[in-house]
Amino acid sequence: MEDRSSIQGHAAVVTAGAAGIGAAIVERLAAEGARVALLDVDEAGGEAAASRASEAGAEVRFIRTDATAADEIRAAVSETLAAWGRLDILVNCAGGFVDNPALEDLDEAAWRSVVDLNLKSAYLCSRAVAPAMKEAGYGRIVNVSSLSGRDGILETGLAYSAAKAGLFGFCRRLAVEVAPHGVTVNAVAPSVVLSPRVAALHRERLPEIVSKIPLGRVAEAADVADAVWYLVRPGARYVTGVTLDVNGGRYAH
Amino acid sequence: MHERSSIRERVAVVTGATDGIGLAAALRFAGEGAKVAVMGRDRERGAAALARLGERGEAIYSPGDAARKEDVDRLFSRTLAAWGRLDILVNCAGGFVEVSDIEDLDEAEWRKIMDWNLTSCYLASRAAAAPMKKAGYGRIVNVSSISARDALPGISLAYSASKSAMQGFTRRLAVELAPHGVTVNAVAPGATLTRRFRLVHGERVPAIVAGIPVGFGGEPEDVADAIWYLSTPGSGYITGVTLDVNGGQYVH
Repeated sequence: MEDRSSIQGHAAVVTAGAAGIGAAIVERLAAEGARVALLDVDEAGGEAAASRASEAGAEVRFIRTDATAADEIRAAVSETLAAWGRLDILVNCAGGFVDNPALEDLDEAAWRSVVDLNLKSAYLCSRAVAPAMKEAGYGRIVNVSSLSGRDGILETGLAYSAAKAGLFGFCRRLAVEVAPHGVTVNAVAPSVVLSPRVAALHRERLPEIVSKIPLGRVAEAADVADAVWYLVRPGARYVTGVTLDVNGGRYAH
Repeated sequence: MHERSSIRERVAVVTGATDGIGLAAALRFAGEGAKVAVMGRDRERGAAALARLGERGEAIYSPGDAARKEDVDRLFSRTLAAWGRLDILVNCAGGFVEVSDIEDLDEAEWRKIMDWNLTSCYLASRAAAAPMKKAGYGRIVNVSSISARDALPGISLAYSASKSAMQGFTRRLAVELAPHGVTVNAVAPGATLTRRFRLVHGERVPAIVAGIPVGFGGEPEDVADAIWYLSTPGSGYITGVTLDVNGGQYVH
């Protein structure tokens, strides 16, 4: 492998790493030799995912963190820097939504909580890692957005779609701000990924969903992790501010 | 290396590969263990490219014009005869020489640029489709341009139009070939410091580089890195996209 692709010894922070896409990202980065701080509110899931991923050989540490709480994020980033003395990679994967009401029934508290989880978390985490990355003159930030931010998909919540689209603007604007410091900021936009949660949510509609995907299958979390890995490598230094769709050809902007 | 990222023993065809981005992509493939067949019109550069590729692995140089069907077909016949498979196609042939206002852009020049950039992409993709569909696997990467996405001074009008068309071609072909395990994507390089870029832009180069957020002009190897990624087995769920490789200069 050429050096462009090596993240051996790099230090990464991944939010929502306990399950689904986040856990696949943690596993991939660890398998590529990066040390990973796995942030999540789910202690049992986080510890288990960290121990699974560390079987690849790299150090993976679970730090219980609410990705919407500035002080907890700051503490987790400090702990990471204290442990490994560097911070090369941030993957903002925290997000999701609980229910999907019609607009009239979407109250302000629910709106705020979804926007906070999906968008504010990316801002807070990026803010926390920026000083170390700028000082090092190197950094890779990847935001896990969604096809829902690109296209009108009725099955996902309105606040979720808005927040995921917000990540694109955040990403583009931040990319230009930190570009002179050797820090890239990009997004990936997956379509539906076959996690246990999604399988339960869409069980009956799965054949219909698959029928709309040109590649003829739903994504696996590892497909998204692969795109994230591409963007966090040193070799992707000239790619910044972009959104990489990982959607089986379902939607092409 | 992670098995998702390995292209060892795979067979790649790269058009426009005797110089610049195409050559960088071919060298990257060879460095990653793939067998590479390249085409280009300039036989001297072709021989030099073949020598460099040969140091890294098995390679073929098939001289010819990527806009001429018989030349393209010969390239694929030779590749399949030598290695019996085809996994990766990179459509990199193209470019422009003259920039003129629309009143002075005559039909012959327009057609030449369309043939060079767009027809070449169609011809090679058509030749690649049959073996890829038969194998149930393939990766096609089209080298488009930032000028397809944004209006930039000093760029040929016909070239901008042809590079935009490549993105439409990419999206449409991606959906057609998806059921066969073949992905079709494009990369859209911004300023890339190739020999030809310096030739075309001359003394404007420092001003162009000063306008790039990352603060440097990309090297052909930076674009080759994106082409390589879209050619790996692991990127199999990505199709129909255009990946900008432009240092933040323009973001769609």
